[in-house]
Amino acid sequence: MERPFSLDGRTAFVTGASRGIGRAIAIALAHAGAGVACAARALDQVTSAAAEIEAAGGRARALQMDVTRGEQIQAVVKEAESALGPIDILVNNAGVTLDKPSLEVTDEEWDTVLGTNLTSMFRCARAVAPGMIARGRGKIINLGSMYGVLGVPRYAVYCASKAAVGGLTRSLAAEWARHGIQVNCLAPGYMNTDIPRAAMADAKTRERFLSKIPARRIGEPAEAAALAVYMASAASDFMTGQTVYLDGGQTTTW
Amino acid sequence: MELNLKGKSVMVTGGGSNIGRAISLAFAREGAHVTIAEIDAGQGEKTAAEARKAGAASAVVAPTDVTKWDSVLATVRDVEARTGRVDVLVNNVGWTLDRLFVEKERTEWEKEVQLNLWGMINCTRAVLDGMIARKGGAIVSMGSDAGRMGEFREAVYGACKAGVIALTKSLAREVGRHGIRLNVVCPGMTMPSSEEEFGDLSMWAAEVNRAWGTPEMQARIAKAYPLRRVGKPDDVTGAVLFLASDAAGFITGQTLSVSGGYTMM
Repeated sequence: MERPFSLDGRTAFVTGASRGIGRAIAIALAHAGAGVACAARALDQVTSAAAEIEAAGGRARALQMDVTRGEQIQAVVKEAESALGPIDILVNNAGVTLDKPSLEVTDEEWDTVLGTNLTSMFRCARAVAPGMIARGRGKIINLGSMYGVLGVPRYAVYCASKAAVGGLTRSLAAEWARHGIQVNCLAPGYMNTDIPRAAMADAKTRERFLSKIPARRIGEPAEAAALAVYMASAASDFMTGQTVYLDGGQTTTW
Repeated sequence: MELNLKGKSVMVTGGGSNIGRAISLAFAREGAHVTIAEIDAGQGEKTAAEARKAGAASAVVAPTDVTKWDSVLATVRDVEARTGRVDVLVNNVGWTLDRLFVEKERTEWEKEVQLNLWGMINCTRAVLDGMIARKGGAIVSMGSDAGRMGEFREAVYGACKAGVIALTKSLAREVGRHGIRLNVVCPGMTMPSSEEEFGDLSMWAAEVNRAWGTPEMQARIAKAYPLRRVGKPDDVTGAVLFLASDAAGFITGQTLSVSGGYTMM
């Protein structure tokens, strides 16, 4: 296989591309050759992500989209395809977290977390899959989490949503395998993004976090992006339905 | 994506035949120093010649019996003397015979345990001293879905591959602090594309395993895979290159099934 990690001529759609891991993935996919639709609620931030890609010589389009608003998804996908071409790669990255004792979690909070982290992934996949099926190829990357296999106090709804991403990934992988679509789950552990960084500002907390990670460090968004490039490229064409944990060895589930 | 494998010193056990051959050639295309640790030096030389043509910084066959500690240690010392270090070890040697557990001879079980598990233990132990001293290295071992899910006619082989996975996870915890990463790739049933791609000592030369290669059996196996085909040797090379590279710097202790969706867990 020549240049198995190249994404030349491909088009990607990344949700939550405004910052953190999503932004890093968008930039890395573009660097590997893909045109990238950068979608998120914060138009100014996706505009800057798209501008960063274009400044480096890549192709990008900034799109405002709230993944919890189902009616927006079809229209934004259509807009992305008319700007960049048919979508070959979907990265379901948009997500929210909630750190709260379970007895205090409201129905609205539960619905918001599941709606953002799970329902939106299904809806985005459903929006791009018909085109992928028609063309006989496609890659869908769902962002899971190490928390999808751990039991974590105060994170019941977040952990439930990320565990469910694994089930969604496996079922879509099994259902669409015959159409040449591979669906995999990228599951980060503690990464150098806003929330863990804030938590680890305290030295004692930082030491407690790091002592549980065999690699003795947290991950970088660029490392999640490298895994996304592998999952988006021909290098992973025979891999589907898998969850790959990017966690410095913290979980090592079977 | 830059894998930065150019000039890296890579040792591939069983690197002459089938999947091992494809892995050796994939590292060669990236410009690595490739050492083919092979019990079949003749088959190894054929692959080494291809590797040099494909762009390897160097491609050398080290005659090796992975089941013998002295042989493994001699090979690792040879690689370290020639290239200065082992950056990447690929534990690829594997062996099985397609027979029911109750029909297998004890000598066949023992050969499976020796090649699949002891081979991995020996080679991994032998490279770790250097990797710990240099504070870095990557080990990618070939597992099997038989080791994750269990498989008909693969009982002892599956037990060995489960051992490969568990050893990987334990060592990932032990040596993570030294910057060393260990991961497993589980291929699906992977057939060589031609007789040229394996030697006489390969499991693919064993008479009982020829049954897997008939068109009827190939069609049956393909139906069990959601992607509806049997594996090709090159199917796993992307995963191996990625896990061996610095691009996977935060991934350790993981098992990737690159098997057409056969196993999802």
